[in-house]
Amino acid sequence: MTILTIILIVPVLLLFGAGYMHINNLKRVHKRIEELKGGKVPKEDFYREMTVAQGSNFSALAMTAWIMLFVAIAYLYLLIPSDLPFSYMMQIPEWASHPLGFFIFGFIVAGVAIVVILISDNLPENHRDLKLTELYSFYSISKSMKRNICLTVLLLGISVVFSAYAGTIYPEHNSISEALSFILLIFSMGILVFPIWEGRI
Amino acid sequence: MRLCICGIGGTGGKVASNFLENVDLDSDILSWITEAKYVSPGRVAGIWLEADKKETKERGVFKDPKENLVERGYPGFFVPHDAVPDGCDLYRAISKKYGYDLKKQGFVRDAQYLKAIFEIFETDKDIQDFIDEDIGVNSGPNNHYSKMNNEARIRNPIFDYAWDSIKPYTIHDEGHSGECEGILFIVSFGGGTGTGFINPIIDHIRTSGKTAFPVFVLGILTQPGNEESGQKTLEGQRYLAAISALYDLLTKRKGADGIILMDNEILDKLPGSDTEKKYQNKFIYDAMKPMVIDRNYPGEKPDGQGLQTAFSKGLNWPPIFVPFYKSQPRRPHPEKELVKKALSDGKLFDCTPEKADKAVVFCRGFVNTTEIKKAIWGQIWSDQEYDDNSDKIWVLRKVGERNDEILILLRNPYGNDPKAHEREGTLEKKLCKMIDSALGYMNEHKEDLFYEGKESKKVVKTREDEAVGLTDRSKQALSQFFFGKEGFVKENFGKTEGLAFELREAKKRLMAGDVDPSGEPIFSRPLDIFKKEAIKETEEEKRPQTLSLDEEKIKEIVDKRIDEKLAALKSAK
Repeated sequence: MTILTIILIVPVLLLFGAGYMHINNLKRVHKRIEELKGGKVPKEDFYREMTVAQGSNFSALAMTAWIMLFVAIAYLYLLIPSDLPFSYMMQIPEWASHPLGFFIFGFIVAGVAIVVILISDNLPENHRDLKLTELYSFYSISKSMKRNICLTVLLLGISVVFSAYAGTIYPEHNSISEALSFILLIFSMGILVFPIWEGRI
Repeated sequence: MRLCICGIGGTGGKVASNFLENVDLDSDILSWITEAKYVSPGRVAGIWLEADKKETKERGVFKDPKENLVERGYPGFFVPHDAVPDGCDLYRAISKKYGYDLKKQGFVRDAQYLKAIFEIFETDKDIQDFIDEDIGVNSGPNNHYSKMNNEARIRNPIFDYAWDSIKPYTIHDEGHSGECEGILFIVSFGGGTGTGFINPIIDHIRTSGKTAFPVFVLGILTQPGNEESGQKTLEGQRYLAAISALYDLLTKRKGADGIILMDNEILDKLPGSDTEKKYQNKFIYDAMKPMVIDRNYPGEKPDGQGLQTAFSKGLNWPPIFVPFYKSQPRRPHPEKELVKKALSDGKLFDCTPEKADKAVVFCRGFVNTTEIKKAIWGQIWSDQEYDDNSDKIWVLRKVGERNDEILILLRNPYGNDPKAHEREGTLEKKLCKMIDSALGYMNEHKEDLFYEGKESKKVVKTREDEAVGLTDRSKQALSQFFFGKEGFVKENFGKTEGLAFELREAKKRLMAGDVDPSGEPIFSRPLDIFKKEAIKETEEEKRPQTLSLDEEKIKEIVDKRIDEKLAALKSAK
């Protein structure tokens, strides 16, 4: 098993950990408020009052960053053959060898991510905690943190480039480019989930 | 309840900047793509009113609303004096009759100057005719004169313009796009524009028919000191402006719903404070956040009427509120410690907490209402048994950030204490000091009250800074306002009538402990510079002279006529 496969656990843990922490944060805040109010508080009312307006520019760039994250993960782990059962170059070699093959892969992954986000966005109001588009609506985020989150679009783009380079030179390996791609991915992921960590109860 | 934040003057603009910063990323291209709207924390809206065009060059977050895209002209700054075209007949008429320069910018922006201008419009019918000719229906920031203004009522172009600038963000907007259910004016007490503007603009809002619209004032008192402390004007002049503004605010029955006071002298002592006041201005915003920001606990969101009632219910006069603020890292059961620290270290104006008749409390974080009430009651009214059903304490909770925060607004924390004026840290002592300084200035710089003294002529760099030349009519009115009918008489200074007298009487009441917020107010009667009676007098002067008879005179005449008739009857017999 390659090191890259082993340390796949890191982004998986980060993603699921952040998701769990986010849902748990909201649950705990909801529970605290119900205790302090001495009665039931409907989730819709709770979510409505908890919401913080973050601005359309930030929201658009944050969503772009999350989509880029999924693309970057796919590029790093699913582009070239590895220990994982699926790789784009092996499973769909005709597309992979197309001059725009890597772009097509990126668009497919982005498309899938967008579809998942749109589906989650149509969940009822009492499931707003599961909507990625509303992720940052429940946290107070400073402007500098917002700039950092938006910067991850660039960092993840660079990660994608490094992963694409690894794909281009395949079957040659360049550990440095893979490592850099991984570091940029994890660093960006850390920034994206930091508001959840900061806002924990 | 969403508040419209209206900063007036230099200090007002700088503090309001913190409230109205855009939480979104600043990018013209992105804003164009996403059609992003400007979003402030808590979704508050607001503007900046300034009289001095030069000040608007350092505008912070504020933009010129005349810029092409309406959204990008928000939040806007407005110069209400722009409502009066340069050199128009109205401008010349007021200048000729009263000597007041409607477009005056520069250092002469004291409380009495703007008060006088306001009252000229309110009392002089001839001036009203000029408004029809010069201003017509094309005034206001969007070339729109509201329906209210076109009705038959007193019009006041400068203050109409100001209110027309604020209205679009409130529920009184005719296009129904405004959402703010109340206004928070932010001014300095002792500066120029804010001090002078605050009373006329509130008067104007109320006389526009908006008596039920919540209006609050956050006033930041100037610090003491003269040139040696880096001040550009004398302490007495600043305190006279401050006390005049407070006087008017506190004597208007249907004026502000609450006057929240903060003291620069206290703010300047905060760790981190700087000479440019950036830290202090940010602190003021942080302290007011619990009141202004949203994220209310479900079911604890007051509407405008609710807040207005909580602030001023049961009172004949606008109340003074002294804020106490504390923020600490989140911890379990923070109520007692939070309240204790707020009341001991978080006072932002001198006062006696135990004298407060009510506490309006805004909390951010996970706090228990009953525990907060008990903690406050225990600290302030420890001599009374705690009553959970009492409406003395009103607590509103909001979800916070990483800290637990509390803003306690104590209502009228003064009064009924003859010793209070002797103790440091009381509102009585503070007011006495301000009154003394103001009276001293009035006594020693009489000419400056009429803009004729050394101080008035000090800074003359441009045409805008040229000295004001009041007419005899205005000088007489001002003299009567300050010193009463007899004018300034050194031996009788402050002993008969006028502002000087009222201030001395107020000080006597404060020192005797006769001030009672629920009954006897600090300042007892409203004062005007130009009185409405002046119109009647002018009209009477124009009519042919008629006898003015009192009762005694009538009896005398009737008796005389009866005697004449009886004498005529006797002689006929």
